[in-house]
Amino acid sequence: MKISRRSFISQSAALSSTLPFWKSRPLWAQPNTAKRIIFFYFPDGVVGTSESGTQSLWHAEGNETSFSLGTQLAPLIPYQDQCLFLNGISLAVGGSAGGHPDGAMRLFTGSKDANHESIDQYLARTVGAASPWRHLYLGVQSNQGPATIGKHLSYPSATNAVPPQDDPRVAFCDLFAQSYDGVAECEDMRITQKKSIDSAMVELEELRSQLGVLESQKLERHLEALNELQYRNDTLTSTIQQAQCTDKELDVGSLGSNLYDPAVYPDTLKAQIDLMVLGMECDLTRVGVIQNSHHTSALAMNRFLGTPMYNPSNDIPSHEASHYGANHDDNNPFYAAFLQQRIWWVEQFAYLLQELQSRPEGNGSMLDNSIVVLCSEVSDGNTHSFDNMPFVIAGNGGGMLRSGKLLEYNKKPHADLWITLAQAMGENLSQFGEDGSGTLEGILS
Amino acid sequence: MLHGFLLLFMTGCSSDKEVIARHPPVQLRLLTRREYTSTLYDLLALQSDTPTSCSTDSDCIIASQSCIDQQCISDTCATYTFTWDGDSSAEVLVSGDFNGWATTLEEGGWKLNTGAGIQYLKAELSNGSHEYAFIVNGSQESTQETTTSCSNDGRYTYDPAALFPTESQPKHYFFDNNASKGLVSTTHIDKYIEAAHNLTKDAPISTFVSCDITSQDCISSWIDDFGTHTFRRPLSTAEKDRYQDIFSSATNEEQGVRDVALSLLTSPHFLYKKEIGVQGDEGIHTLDSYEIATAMSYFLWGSTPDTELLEAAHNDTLQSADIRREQALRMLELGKGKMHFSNILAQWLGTTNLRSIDKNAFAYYNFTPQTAIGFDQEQQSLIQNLVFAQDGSYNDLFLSNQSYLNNITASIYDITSVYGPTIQETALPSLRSAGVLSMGAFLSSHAHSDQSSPIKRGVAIRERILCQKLGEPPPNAGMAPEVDFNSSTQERFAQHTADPACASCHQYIDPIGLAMERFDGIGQYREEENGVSINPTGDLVDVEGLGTGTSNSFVTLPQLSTIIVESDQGAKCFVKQMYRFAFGGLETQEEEINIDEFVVQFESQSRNIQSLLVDIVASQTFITRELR
Repeated sequence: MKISRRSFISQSAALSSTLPFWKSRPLWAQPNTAKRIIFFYFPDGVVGTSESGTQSLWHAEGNETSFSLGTQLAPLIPYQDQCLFLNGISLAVGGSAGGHPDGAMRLFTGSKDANHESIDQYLARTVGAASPWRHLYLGVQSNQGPATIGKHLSYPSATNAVPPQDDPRVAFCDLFAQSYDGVAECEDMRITQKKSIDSAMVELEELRSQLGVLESQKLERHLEALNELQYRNDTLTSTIQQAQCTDKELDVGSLGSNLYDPAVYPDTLKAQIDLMVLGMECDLTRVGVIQNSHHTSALAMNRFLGTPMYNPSNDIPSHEASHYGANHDDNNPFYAAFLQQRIWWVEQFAYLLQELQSRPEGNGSMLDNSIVVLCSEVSDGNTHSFDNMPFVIAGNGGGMLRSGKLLEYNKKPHADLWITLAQAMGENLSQFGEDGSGTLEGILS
Repeated sequence: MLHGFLLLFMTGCSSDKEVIARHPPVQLRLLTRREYTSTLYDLLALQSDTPTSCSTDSDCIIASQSCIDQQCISDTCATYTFTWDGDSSAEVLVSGDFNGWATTLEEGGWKLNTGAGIQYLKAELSNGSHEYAFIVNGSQESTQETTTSCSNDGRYTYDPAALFPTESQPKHYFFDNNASKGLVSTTHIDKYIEAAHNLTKDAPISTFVSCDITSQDCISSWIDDFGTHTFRRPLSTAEKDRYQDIFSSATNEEQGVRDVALSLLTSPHFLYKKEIGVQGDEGIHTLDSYEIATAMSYFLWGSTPDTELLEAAHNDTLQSADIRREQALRMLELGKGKMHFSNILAQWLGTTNLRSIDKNAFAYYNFTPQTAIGFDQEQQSLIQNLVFAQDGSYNDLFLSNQSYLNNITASIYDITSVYGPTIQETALPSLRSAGVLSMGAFLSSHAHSDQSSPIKRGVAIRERILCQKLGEPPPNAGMAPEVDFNSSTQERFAQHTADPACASCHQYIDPIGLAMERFDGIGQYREEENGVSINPTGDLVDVEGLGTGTSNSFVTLPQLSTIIVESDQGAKCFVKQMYRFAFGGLETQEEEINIDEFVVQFESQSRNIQSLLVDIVASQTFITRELR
């Protein structure tokens, strides 16, 4: 029988379940690795090289050390020295273009049809395993509408996606076992969880012993998930206390009962960013994903309150704007809207960097110890290009990453980027997805 | 056929190699989101109707029930009842955002019905807030507002599974219940607990227990009974003791009941349907009676077994094919599976997301959320009427000239005699009498948001309806050509067949899809596009199998339907799809023998659909599993 890495891990997890679970956890790796990673995704690509061949308004230009940022990356100028700008990365598995769902499925899995565990989930169960929350997956209006293919980015197992938590209030309650505004409900939920898990554990063990080898992989996976939750419950309170995070609060701004009102999008995203930073600051988690909306969404960004895009009388849904035509034509309202939206996404990414940078950690800031990834599922929104993908890597990764550089590649698969970043996190990963086979040059210091 | 079957079966028994993969696999099947929701509603009787008989709506609670088949049935969540209690002789129309503020019947205004001294009208409304006004004898009254907030399918106010992870499916498997993909992640468990918490924390205790919870007898028998219904089998003594302990260790009896319910509803015994059985000779497993009851009810109802079925399992009678047949007939007659089955066929046809379909407002100004609801209602009614009320056949699904339209969908079909939001049986013009293929549901689902898609339609017919596997599009296959107001879709897609690299697959797709171009991206009939006349001639080449070299030309959709029903492959594919759904996976090559058997039965019963379902349940295959 061939033992894959996956089944090996689930077997060892199963074995260790007879021990007190936390004792079998590895301590996190060497101090010289990145402490945490955050993926920041926005949908529908960027203004890249146009169909008619006009130069990209995203990609940086120049040489490795002296370069200028495109219009859409301008919000990152203050952080230019903490970022790596990557040109010429292709979405793994080949093909110069494809559909949005196709791109979204490849993005974190490095595999066609999402036929692989995603990189965030891989990191969650390796470097993230010692944290109460292996993985924090926050969304903003990402569950709206029907379940289309490739809607969500995170795959704990091949082809099986999980949804993000879109409500920062619920996420806060989950994360800190306390309400963002002082209502008692959240502690109840923790007690409920414990009751359910204790009982389910016993029954799952019984079922496993009844069935023997039958469906053992399915049940081991189930057990691993229960173990993870039990570990979370067991460690959460003490971690929060140790980190002196018992009195945290979250400002959710204008967010009311309608989570999917475009007007509250900016406040919701800000709350999710704040929460992500808070969760990382209190060391409740080390692997995070912020998913903005989802590909081909009908999100009316012109209804985002308090943004330069605000123009409620002129609805241009996000995906419709992305098909701005063959040229970069400033007089085309679709193009103008799309460009403005992209700049806004990058500004929000810059806000995340700002928040990380403003928090001291060790000899520097949280940002110095972090890896923060900016990404989307296609390159140019109009052509659906899979080449020259819009990746930016920020943070110094605890000294593991170079920074302030423009790096050029010739159609390297993005799965190599995931391998590189996993190594920066101290993981000995050498293959990932369908065609990730090594590290990208120039990223690791 | 029967001889072939026996022979293979016997040789199979003598050789391990051939036993493998002849039967569906031993497996645990995780409840799907739909199954979870229906099960919870059944278990907790969240939407139970005490059956009141009626002859008209006015015999029921008019604001929330309708009289269907002489019984008062609760309306779906999305159904809103407009009521007006003024002068009963007045003519009252409702006009609102949902019908384009139409002020007369002819323009599409909705006329209220009279009944029990009140004028009223029921209509399903899309999610969101709606404004409307009554128009009484031609003069408009003040504007009112209502808000609809329901699950995506419009059925439930609260869908406990709404935020569960989506099921995934292997290629060429079109249903949501693929067993091999049903893996539990941490997110699943989080969501299961959250759902059970929401369902148990505040519900009146009578939702769970009807006896006096301070009495030990009451609790014991409740744990027994509720446990049996939840696990779809009796609890073991150890399990009973454990749940008794959970009850006893709670702070009070009420909390005890809630804790027991919570643990039962998040137990792996509840979340997985077991198809394990008892191992016999040669690695062949036979399902036990409770597993059979479970398999039957999720196949026919999409939900948990009722007391009668559990009773039959208790008496161990479900091992008998005759009893299974009897029970299946009873179950189909109850009508509980109608909604489930129309959903299954919608999954097969690729039309389940209809209500959330989003069409580009510039391309299709007349496609509104109400159109999507109307198409969904049409599809459900057609399938339910053909399959259940008329006990119809596979052929009827493709040849029917009936439809069920309201004024909104009728206007898409260019039919003028239908008024109001209530769906009415309507005869379709001959060009549109192609059953499911000519419905707005199919035509608008297999299309882009701003244009039709000959590719999607052609592929749907090959893969879903004929079970023929096409190759993958090459990685550099482009996107659909941009809409061009100077040419027709047919012209823009011509390059596929011109380029030999594309033609190897597109020869099977385009001659079907392009010929369906007379129906646009929302199913409106047209003879020309952008001034270019649309050639309706198509060819369903190789209908019995790719590469067989046959030709079957057609000019209209009903002719295409006729080719499909006159083929062997269409009906065989349908049987295969139902087989896949029943067993939760793609068949192995060896399992084709089982499918062939069902095809013979299906053909001998004039392709009657209910008979096929019953035959599958009554078959030996239904209760036989093997280890893979």
